[in-house]
Amino acid sequence: MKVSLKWLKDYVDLVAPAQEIARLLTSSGTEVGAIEYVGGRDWSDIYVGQITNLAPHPNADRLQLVTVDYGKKELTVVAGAFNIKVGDRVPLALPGARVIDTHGPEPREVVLKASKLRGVMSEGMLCSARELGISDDHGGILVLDPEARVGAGLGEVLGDIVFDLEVTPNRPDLLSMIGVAREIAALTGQELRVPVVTLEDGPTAVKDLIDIEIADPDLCHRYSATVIEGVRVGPSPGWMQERLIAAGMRPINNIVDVTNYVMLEWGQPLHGFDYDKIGGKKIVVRRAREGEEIETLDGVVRKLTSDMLVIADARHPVAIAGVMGGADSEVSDATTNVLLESANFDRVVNRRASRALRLPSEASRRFEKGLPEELTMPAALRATQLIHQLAGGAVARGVADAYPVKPPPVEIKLTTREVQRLLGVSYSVEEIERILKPLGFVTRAQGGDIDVVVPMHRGDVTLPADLVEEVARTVGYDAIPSTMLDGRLPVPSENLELRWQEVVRDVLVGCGFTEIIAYSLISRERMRKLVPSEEAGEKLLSLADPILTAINTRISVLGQQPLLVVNPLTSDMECLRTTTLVSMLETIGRNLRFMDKDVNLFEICRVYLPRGEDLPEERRIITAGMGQYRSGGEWGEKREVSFFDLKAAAEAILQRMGIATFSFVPVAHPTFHAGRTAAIVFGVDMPRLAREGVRAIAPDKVVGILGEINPDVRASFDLDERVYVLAMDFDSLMQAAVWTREYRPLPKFPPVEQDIAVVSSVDIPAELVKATISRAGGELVKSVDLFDVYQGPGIPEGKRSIAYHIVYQAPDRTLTDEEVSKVQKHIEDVLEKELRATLRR
Amino acid sequence: MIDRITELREQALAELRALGRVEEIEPWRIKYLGKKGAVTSILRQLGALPPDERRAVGQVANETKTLLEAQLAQKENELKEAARAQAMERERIDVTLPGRPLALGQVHPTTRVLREILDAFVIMGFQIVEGPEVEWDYYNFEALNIPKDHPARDMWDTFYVSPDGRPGEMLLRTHTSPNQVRVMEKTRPPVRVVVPGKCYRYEAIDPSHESMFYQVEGLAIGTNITFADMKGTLSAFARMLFGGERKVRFRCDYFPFVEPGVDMSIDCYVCKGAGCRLCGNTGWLEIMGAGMVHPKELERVGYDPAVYTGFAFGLGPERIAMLKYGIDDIRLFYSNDLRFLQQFR
Ligand SMILES: [Zn+2]
Repeated sequence: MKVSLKWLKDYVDLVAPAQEIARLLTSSGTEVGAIEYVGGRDWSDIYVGQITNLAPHPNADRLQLVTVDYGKKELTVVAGAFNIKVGDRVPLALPGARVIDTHGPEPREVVLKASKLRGVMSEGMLCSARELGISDDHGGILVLDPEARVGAGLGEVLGDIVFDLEVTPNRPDLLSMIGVAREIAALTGQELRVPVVTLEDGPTAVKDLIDIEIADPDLCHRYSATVIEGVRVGPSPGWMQERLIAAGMRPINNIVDVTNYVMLEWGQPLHGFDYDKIGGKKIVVRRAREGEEIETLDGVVRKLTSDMLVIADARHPVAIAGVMGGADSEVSDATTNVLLESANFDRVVNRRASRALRLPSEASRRFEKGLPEELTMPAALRATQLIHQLAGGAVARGVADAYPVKPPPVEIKLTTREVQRLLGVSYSVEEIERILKPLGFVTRAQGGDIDVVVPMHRGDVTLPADLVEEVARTVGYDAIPSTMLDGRLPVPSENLELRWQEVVRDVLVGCGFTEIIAYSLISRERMRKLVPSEEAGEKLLSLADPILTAINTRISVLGQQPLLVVNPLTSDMECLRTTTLVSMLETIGRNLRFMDKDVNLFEICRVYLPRGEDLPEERRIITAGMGQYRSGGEWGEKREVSFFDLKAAAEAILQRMGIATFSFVPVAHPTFHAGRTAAIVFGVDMPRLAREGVRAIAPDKVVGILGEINPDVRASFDLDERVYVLAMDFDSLMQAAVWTREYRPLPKFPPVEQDIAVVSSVDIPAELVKATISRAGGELVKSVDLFDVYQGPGIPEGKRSIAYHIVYQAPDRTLTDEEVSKVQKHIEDVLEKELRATLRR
Repeated sequence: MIDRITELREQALAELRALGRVEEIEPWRIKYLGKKGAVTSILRQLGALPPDERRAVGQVANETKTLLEAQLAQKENELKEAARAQAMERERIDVTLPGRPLALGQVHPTTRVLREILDAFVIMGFQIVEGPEVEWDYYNFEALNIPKDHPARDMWDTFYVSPDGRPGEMLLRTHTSPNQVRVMEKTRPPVRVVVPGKCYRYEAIDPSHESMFYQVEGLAIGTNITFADMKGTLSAFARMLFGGERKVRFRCDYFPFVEPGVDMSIDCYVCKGAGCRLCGNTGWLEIMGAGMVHPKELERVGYDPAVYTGFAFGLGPERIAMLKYGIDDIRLFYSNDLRFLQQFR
């Protein structure tokens, strides 16, 4: 809402500087978003001139010669506009004045010079609102208030301060000058002045001219109308145009301008009909018939639906209630009799209609917030008076007023105790009354209680808490003390999910990964890029491999319908992601464009797995990714990473979460490299897996996938280097996580250390070899650490040598050589027997 | 005899002083103090002297031995120190060369600020809970006094979602406020929670608008919680995050689910309140919305508004981060450019 302070002075004395008034409004809930100084532009050398003569230009039909008196002398000016007449007061710019040149592609400020136009010297220029930099209106020369003093500087006449108020949706009363004035009056201790209306009754009675019927009283709560006969439609006076322009509205003609002016003044939208176009002299307010059509003011024929409300005459709609008038009944230059509508429409029906028709307007902006029924009358009278004053004619006696149900005023009992209870500071009955009365509340004190009657313009106030806000915002929130909370605290309960999430975050940061947060919205097209071919997609969905199925159910879900956005912003953000891999690969790709190493990223976020009509499952996923290179030990050196670098990060997470038993099982997932990918499974160790195969894996124990990205998938993300990605189901990990740790005493007796190299088939997983050594070694084997893997000359084809460093130790004695060789012999036998592995000598 | 000893001592000391390397020490020691050394042999000859002379000579000889031993130890130390210093000098490096690359990770700036925000409230007795990002219209709007077709809905441009793309009751939460209702439905007062999480708005993306962002919701309900307590708690928070010298402003604002409603700002740290580009010439930087929980909301979850009062607040960590670190484009947060992320180590 744009509020001209110059206009506002009609209703309240502004006793404080504009800055201070802005501060008071802002602090009490209506933010002054901007303070605009109209005429803050340099208007020196622009004066109020009066037109004394108009003559045709000798050489050009489109121009005329205007004689202007600006007090000091008369000048002749060449003008290209014809909206002026002798006697009009207009802005006259003299050579040296700064005006806006609107002829170029971009408006720019120029210094005016006297110049010849088609052979005639122009000694100055008459300006439009646009040339003055006031508004975009270039409809013609700005005609000023007839009261403007001839010879006055333009700044004196037009200079104004305009507040741009950010009115909150609960305060439609502040979408009016009177409402804002009331607020300022209350905040500054001044009186509100409301315009007094006196009407000269004409010969006809309005009830003989129009009959009003509200067919749907649930949607139209009141309809008030007046008729003004014999008006002359023409431009409205300069003062009114200036005010409308200051408020951001465009002057049209005196009738429409009055309806807009009074809407701005009172907050009540009004509509003027050409009375003679109202068939049957009857107004029916009713629901539109399905498919009924109306051509609106903007010349568009609109199809209506039965949940819209129309104003109809005896036959057809003449307006969409509170949204837009019809073209047929529009007030035009030929109109002589005006029917003025001041009605109250249901806010919901108005909001729906203006949205459905995409016709937001100043009127529907007010209606949709809910206006008081009582407002129609003062606005109708005020507008009738102004039309009569500006367009002449005779006012028909009375107001045609259909008002089915007058709502009772809202009464609230407020106690000083309630004010104290909510604010933490007490105010006396007198203080509270002193605050509420200027805002329009009627109060009656009874001991510590105050009976408050809410004024019609404050439909937002219904509860004691609302009145408490009135008190608080008027004294100013800064005047209320600050205290710390006391009283009982809730029973503490730790948020384990967040704690574990932070643990994982710290592990990954410690491993050199940088956290990313990517958009939850994605597109099916983008997710499809994770599946290189249709066959691969089918395989993924075939349920043949229980591990794959588990991954595709919980960890990176592909090929399933995601939740769709009903109103997407862009087509690549049309659904909620069911996999985190797309964002990871895309983000790695973007960063690889300017970093040749150390693109190590992680994200802890949710995927959204649909559950039919219910809210989706929001499962937390840990995702980590690595580009092909990492910093080496030396400056500038880069080292190629492998599957095992990322595996270390996965192991670090599992260890930090206290999960002891887990395995990495080869898996063929279409997004990943067929030979370099593992499912992370817990609760099952390698020997059992070797014995029982994948049957040993319960689907709910599959907690992640880790591997190199399939080269074809990589290509579809424009990644030209190897990329490794890990995705883990955080929620499952958390279920298994163990916070406590168990202490084991430090060894008291020296260890015996030994290295062995085991030659076995390449098909036997290293993990199984290690597990076999541990098991065969029994309690004396403290640790088995791999230190070398070798394949090549000296080792038979199809086999490899894996070297382990074994530490033997007993808690109660120093081991003898015999003991150790006995154990070692046993290890050798078991390796031989179970894995057909031999020691390399 | 004593003269001989004196002469010997002077000679030994002179030779010792002339030594320059650690290796020369041992030969000197053998020459004078060894088993067959000069001093040792004099001591050995003492027995042959007459008793009175023996005492005097013995004393001088022993003193000489002690002196030489002490001088030897000192010299040895000096030489060793010099040798060590020399050795280290040979190993001198240029300490201004850069550190060897170590892949450093870091958390996202949003996480960094979220941790700060949550810590501040945890210190004040609040517990952290979370809620769903995909919400029912009921929790996001209706239960917060924002019925369908309410003009206040315009304050939140909403993404609706559904299994088939047709509009329904499911949406992406536009704020974390639904958790006020969810928390109150599940518990009885006293309540003190903070709820962090992602929120979404149907909003064209530009330097100051994102379609996805985080929010932290807060809620405190009890039998004796006042507006003054809200001011105190939120001011304490602002000072924890932005420094003790910050001024805090509370002004009236409208949110349908609180009454009275509050907008909290801190004084602009760039212009100190005088007005500048950052604060839009107001001198103030808005950091959160808050208010006393609306009685209707309390009633809806079965809390008697005549008994319980409380306050709620909501703030955006990105905005806090932008203010704290001077970030001028919100789009940087979720485009995940390492050149941006790595500035927050
Ligand atoms: Zn500033």
